[in-house]
Amino acid sequence: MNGGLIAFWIIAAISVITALGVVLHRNAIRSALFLVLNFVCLAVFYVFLNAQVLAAFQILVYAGAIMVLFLFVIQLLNLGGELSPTDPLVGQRAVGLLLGAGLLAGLGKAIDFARTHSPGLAPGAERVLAAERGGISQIQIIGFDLFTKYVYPFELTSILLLVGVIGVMILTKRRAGQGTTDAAGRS
Amino acid sequence: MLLDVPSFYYLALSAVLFTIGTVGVLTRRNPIVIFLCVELMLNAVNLSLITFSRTQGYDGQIFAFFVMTVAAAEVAVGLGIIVSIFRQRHNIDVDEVSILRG
Repeated sequence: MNGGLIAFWIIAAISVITALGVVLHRNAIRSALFLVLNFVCLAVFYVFLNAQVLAAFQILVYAGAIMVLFLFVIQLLNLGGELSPTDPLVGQRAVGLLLGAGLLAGLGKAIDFARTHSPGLAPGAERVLAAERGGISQIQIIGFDLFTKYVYPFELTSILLLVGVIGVMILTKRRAGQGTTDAAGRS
Repeated sequence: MLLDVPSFYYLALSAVLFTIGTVGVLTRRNPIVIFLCVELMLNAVNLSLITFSRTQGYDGQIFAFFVMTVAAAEVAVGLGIIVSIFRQRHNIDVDEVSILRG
């Protein structure tokens, strides 16, 4: 067993345990902190997979910005504790687990099929290998693709973010005569 | 390659993480935790996209980049909805707000 495989198994175990912690923990704050750890594990995998740019984005955007927003809202609304203990939907947990098992079986079958019917290297992979050999920086290639081949989707994401910002402003705006306390800085 | 782990391992891990996220969405009732589980699912998909980008070119990485952007917008809007529901009824159990009227 080589070193890469051992590192993979250790970090895979940590990421699965933290993912289970997100789902199983009663306290929403601890769930969020488990998720931060899970994101860090995934960033390590991105480095293993030679996607250093995405690893940096993962830490900066996900573990940094998005999770801070989550923790901020949990603390602001004081949602740390558990909700009402009684379960109004009978059998929700059992059905959820059953559907999850079915999904995992289906995905496992698909991955097994992909493993035995591997298409091999695609034409685009030559660029990856050439860049690795020639020492061309990855962010250069990704930036070039983003502004040439994917320029329209890229511009659309800016519109999406603008719509998101305006939507949040309208959703959380306080209408006249509704409530009295002033809460600045809502997401 | 620095660490030669077969792509198949990463895909299997991605499937496991995605399933854990799905079970969380189906069973938990705190909307914040449901959001966290959706983030888990998005990240599992990102892992498989980046795994494929190792053998299929850089398109997978760019797609993962777009997924991150959409996730950021989704979190902002979702948390805005949770804040505005909480402001109206001080209780955000998803089973009790199943009818989407103020």
